[in-house]
Amino acid sequence: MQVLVLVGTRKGGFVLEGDQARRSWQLRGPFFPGWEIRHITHDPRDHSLYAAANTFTYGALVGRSADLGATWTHSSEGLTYGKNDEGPKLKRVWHLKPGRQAGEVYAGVEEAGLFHSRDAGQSWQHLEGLRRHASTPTWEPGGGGLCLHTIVPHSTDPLRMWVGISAAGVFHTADGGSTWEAQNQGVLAPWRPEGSVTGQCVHKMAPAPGGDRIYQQNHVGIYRTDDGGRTWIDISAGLPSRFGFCMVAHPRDAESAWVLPLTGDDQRFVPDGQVAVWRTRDAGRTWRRTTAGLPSNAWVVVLRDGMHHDALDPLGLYFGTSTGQLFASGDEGESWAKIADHLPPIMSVAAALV
Amino acid sequence: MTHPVYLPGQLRDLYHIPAGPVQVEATCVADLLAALDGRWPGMAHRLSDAGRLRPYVLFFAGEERCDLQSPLPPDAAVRIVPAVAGG
Repeated sequence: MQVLVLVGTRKGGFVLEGDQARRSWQLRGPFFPGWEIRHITHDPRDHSLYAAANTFTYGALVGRSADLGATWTHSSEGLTYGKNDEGPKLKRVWHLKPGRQAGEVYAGVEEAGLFHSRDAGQSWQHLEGLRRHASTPTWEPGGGGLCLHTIVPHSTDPLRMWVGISAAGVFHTADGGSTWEAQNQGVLAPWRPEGSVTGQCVHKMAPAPGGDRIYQQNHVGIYRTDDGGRTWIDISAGLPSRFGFCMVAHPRDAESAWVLPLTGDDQRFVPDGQVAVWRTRDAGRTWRRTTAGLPSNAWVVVLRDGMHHDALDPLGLYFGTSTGQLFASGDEGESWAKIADHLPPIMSVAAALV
Repeated sequence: MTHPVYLPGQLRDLYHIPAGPVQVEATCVADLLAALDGRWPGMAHRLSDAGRLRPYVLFFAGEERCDLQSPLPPDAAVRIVPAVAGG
């Protein structure tokens, strides 16, 4: 068994192949050189890799590799909102998520929308129900664009899914995507009128095992829901900042999650130049800081898809920085080591066992 | 009418097309895109979207800039020129 770390950067994608001890790493890439790779994901059923690749010149496409990144095919058939002068334009693919069936993939895009493929990314269909939500005309972009950046299928119910849109909020479907409900109760949005049900700036969500618990890193706080998104609880106390981008939840322990706080939204780098990962073991009631193996005098950013985990025990964690460094932990975040450097700015990190 | 078409480097890399012009039979830019797409599936969407040429890609037939509806003069070489902006 081998660990793959899939790294999306501003100038292409990379794959690091690691041994199960997670100490020895070989770097391959770049693939799609010069393309902005927003996200790479792995389908464990057939070990397909999918890459969200974008350029402002040639638009967006989804790449697929059947040989762990050695070669790629690509398609954007159906990845469009069609002919409409006044309507939305599909500018980027932000996030990819394998579905329940073999060959099924979901894509979150900018301008925010959800697309679906049943043929391993060869063709795509727009799931129009989300953009028919009554709040759609009020959706406003964050600094990175109006993007659907997070897709969280329910762990057992095939009709349920959550998506995160910056800066429209969290939306949930219980009927396979035909209709959607905004689920942002309890999440701050100080730029919106009090009581607004949409307009919250969710940055990333990570599901805990069990189905109804999800952790959320938001623009203005860290939150947890225990009731499938109906209400959100503020769990920011004890962290140096309410701002950050990434959020990782333990796949087997519902009480554990990790964040990487950044200074407030007017600066957006790690506090005091010290890279630090914070872990909770009690669902956000308390947080513990870890800096072992992480640099100081390092004014870096880790983006919303920039941190992820593998499925080994103990859990491996990985994150990549805006300055092209990739860090790994083989002990659930207690200590870290740099495993790659001098990459282009890292946009996403994912880990897979093959 | 067959036209030599000079593709941008990033698209040649994407489709593993060797350097040099490709020969494409077409009478207008729209037909040319369709012909390119027939040989390299998805190429048309790299160059156009929602019925228009992508804004950061320019088409020239000889010395004349083209849009999607432009006819192609006989014997004209077609150059597809991407924006040089970037970072």
